[in-house]
Amino acid sequence: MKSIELRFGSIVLFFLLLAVVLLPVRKGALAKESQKTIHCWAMSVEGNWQITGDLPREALIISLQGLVNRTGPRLYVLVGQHYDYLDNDSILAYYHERHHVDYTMISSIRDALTKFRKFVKGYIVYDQKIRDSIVLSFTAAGIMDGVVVASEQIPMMDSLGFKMLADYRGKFQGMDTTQIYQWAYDHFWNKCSHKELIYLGGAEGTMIQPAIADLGVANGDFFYDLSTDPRAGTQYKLVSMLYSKMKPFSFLFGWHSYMKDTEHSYVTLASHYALRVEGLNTLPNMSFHRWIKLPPGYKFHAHHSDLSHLKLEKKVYVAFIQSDGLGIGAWLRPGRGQIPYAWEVNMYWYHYAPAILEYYYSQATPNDFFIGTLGGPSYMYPKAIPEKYRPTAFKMADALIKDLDINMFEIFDASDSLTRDLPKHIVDEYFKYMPHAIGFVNGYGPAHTFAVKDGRPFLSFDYYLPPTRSVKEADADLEELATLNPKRPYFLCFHVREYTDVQGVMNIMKPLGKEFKVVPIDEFLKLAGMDPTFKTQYQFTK
Amino acid sequence: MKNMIAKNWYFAAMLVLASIPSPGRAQGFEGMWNFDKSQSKDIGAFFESGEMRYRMQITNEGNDNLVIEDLTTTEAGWKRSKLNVNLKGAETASEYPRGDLAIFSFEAVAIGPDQTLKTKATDVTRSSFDLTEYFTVLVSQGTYNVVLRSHYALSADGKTLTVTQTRNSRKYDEPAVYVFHRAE
Repeated sequence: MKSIELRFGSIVLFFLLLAVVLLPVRKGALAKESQKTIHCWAMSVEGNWQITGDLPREALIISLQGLVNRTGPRLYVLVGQHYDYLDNDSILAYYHERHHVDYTMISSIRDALTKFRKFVKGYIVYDQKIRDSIVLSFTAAGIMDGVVVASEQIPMMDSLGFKMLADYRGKFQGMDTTQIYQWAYDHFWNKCSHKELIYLGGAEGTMIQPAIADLGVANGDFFYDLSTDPRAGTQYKLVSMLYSKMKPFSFLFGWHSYMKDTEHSYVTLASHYALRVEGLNTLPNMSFHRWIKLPPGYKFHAHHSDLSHLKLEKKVYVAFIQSDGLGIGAWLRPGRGQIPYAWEVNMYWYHYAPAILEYYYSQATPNDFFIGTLGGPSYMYPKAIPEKYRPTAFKMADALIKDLDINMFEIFDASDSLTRDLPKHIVDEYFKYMPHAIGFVNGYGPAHTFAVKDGRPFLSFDYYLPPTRSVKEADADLEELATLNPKRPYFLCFHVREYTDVQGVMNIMKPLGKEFKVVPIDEFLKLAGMDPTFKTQYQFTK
Repeated sequence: MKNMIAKNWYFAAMLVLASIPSPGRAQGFEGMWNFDKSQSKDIGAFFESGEMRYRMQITNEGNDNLVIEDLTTTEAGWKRSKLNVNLKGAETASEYPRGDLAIFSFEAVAIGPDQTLKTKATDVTRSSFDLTEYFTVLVSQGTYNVVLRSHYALSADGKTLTVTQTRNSRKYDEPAVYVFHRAE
């Protein structure tokens, strides 16, 4: 027995030594491999996204992209400059420069299908008259390894020798939305990955923008378009059932339907099941980004102000935060870098698409600051998250800000229609479970939750800049706020929507007197913690 | 006896007169009014971005008493607030259960927890009146007592209602202008 143990021990030792000897070799190979050129292809999906317009072409390319990017970064879609994600095409240029990504344009679907034939088992025909059939055809595509097509594309597919895997024309005639997704659930759910769900909402009617579908097809996700409005009856029941089947902290990609429900109902329901919301349905290339790895040993370094020798002045301190800062924000638009400005960070990219974050971090000027968002590790409403999951949610968010070298965090909770404020016990939990945050900002439109603990402030936005506000009106607003809050220093946290660029904000600040002082968000929070002239207050609406 | 009859007649006449609305007092404000964002100026953030729908219901409760109800619908839900107005100029009180949500054009401050607003109407004519509201708003540094002055004016055809507002906290030469059209 002893000799067997000895022999076993020797074998283990041998393999351990072998591993020690080989490990550096393997590391070197990886490093070398990461320097290798990645050859890929790019296609434009620029168009009108109309179901009977450009969508057939766009949907086919996106489903194809999901299939071909399953095992590597092969196909990138270009969206043009009339699209939500203005940075998309610039990110590919960055990949080219920094990650040795070379790409060749493919102009026709026929060429793409020929090139990527080996990834495609066939095609699924959706019913152009029934929007839900388009949505569920993406689920089928992920399961059956097919591309989605409209009737008009069948001859092309047949001529290329692809077989029809499913035909949904007429199949859902007379069925309502709930019945259609119940059918999809019955037929597909058990074959789907349950890591993510894809809500293909967004613009509706004659339009559908399924740019996120590449990720769902690649991962074999379940797609749906069911109302999260509690008044929606059977749709609400079905979507609640789907959410209940997901593990807590699973991802919900896509976006709510602008015609069926609201962002607030969607995030509230998702948070109720401790699920992580990540928008939008228009987000492209997620199946591609995940393959672009960071250089070995890469660490994120954000800009931070020197907070060691701050002096308080009798000023109106103003700090700007742009919502949806990275992605659909004004990152590439005029003025960036000229004044201190904070950008909301989509923290999940740290795991899902770190190279996108690297792109923003590498471009950030000393005036660009990053703030973690939103409520939890993703977009979550803390009041709607079940109590037993809240500490985990906040700890996950804290780990992410630490990994991303961020020390500020933002919260927005619209789960209660009467208030954007938070009760004390939740504010206390943020202080407790997010020790890496030097401060917190709450709200969207202004809110009234203010607290401070050990020099770490929890502030709310005092100002929301609407997209259509003139410079004169905005200046009157800010001056009025300075009147309403007469103590100095006064800490005025300013929310800028993605519609306004930094230059626009500078134009607003220019006519204001010297009493107003724009400071970086980290300095703002530190100063507010040093002299909290705000009144400690929490949600008062029951 | 003659004196008694004369006296009674006098009182009866006074009663009848009192029950007839004064021709000088605002008329025709009652009804449902739909907010017209395109014609309004310096209005609230959520009005501007189209995220809020806004209607106003004015009810004549008799004796020159109006109730002005604001009905706002946001993405998050809907809210209703009531304002009692006496056109004879008596100060009125209204419970204003606004909750925590912000008010005013820039959505900067919220009215505090349920509170009583004081309201006084002045300069009442057939087609217009002025209204002064006194209330407290919640701001980050505590509270602030606001005096909000509104001018309600009906168009000649009675189909458009324009509410022009200024307030003591705002140093701005342009008032907020809310334009409403009578609901059909």
